Amino acid sequence: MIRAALAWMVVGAALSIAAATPWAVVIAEGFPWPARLHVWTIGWLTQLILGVAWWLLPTLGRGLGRGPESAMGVAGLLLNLGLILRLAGEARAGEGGWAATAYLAGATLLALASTLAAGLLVRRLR
Amino acid sequence: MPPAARLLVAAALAELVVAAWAGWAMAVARVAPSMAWAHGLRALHTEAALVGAWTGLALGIAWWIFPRPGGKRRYAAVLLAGGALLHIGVWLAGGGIRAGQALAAVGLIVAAASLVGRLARPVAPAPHSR
Repeated sequence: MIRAALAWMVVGAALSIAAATPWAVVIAEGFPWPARLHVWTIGWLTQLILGVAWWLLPTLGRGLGRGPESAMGVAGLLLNLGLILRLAGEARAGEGGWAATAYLAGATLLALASTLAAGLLVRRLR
Repeated sequence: MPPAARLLVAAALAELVVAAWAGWAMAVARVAPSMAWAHGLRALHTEAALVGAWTGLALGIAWWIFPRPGGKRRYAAVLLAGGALLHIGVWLAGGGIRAGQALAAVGLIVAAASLVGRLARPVAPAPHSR
């Protein structure tokens, strides 16, 4: 998750730089500000926080380690896939069709990923 | 992990879930007109994510892992009082009551005050400096 967070940081920075170039109009149309904001807030910040929390919080004890690594992997996968789908559909979600489907699927995956990750982490508060 | 930090981090994780599902409802509202009421969740989505989840989590973990001069984590009650104000403020702000933002900010300052003295002096040399 931390590697993915760093990758999203690069994407966010690239979009910010592109938005200050002559392609700004193209960037604004393809990736409206909520999309660019979520690259930073979900892709970078939230994912970094969840990754560090998974590493840092107390283990479950009795040889259980950090808990099910695969479940946290699924949460990371859902989060990244959700963000990609949301970005793909954000600009044209209001027009219906594939964009609306991708946008809604992305939002659903993001909510599920956050709930799963929070559920895995809250068990570690001991 | 001490109970005060545990409580603050648990509340922050709960706020993360609230922010995520509020965001989901807002996304549905953009596509389905019958969910138009969910546009009103924007303040809750923003406050719960920025202040409730990220800041709450950072404060709880900082209070837990920062150095402990004298071997003690002091001001647990201050952390809890600040955390309570912060989360009440988030929900009031999310409900459209503007004073909630001020209350959350006061809670943030109070909770941060519980960290006073924790970075004031080195407790032990870092392993690599020995």
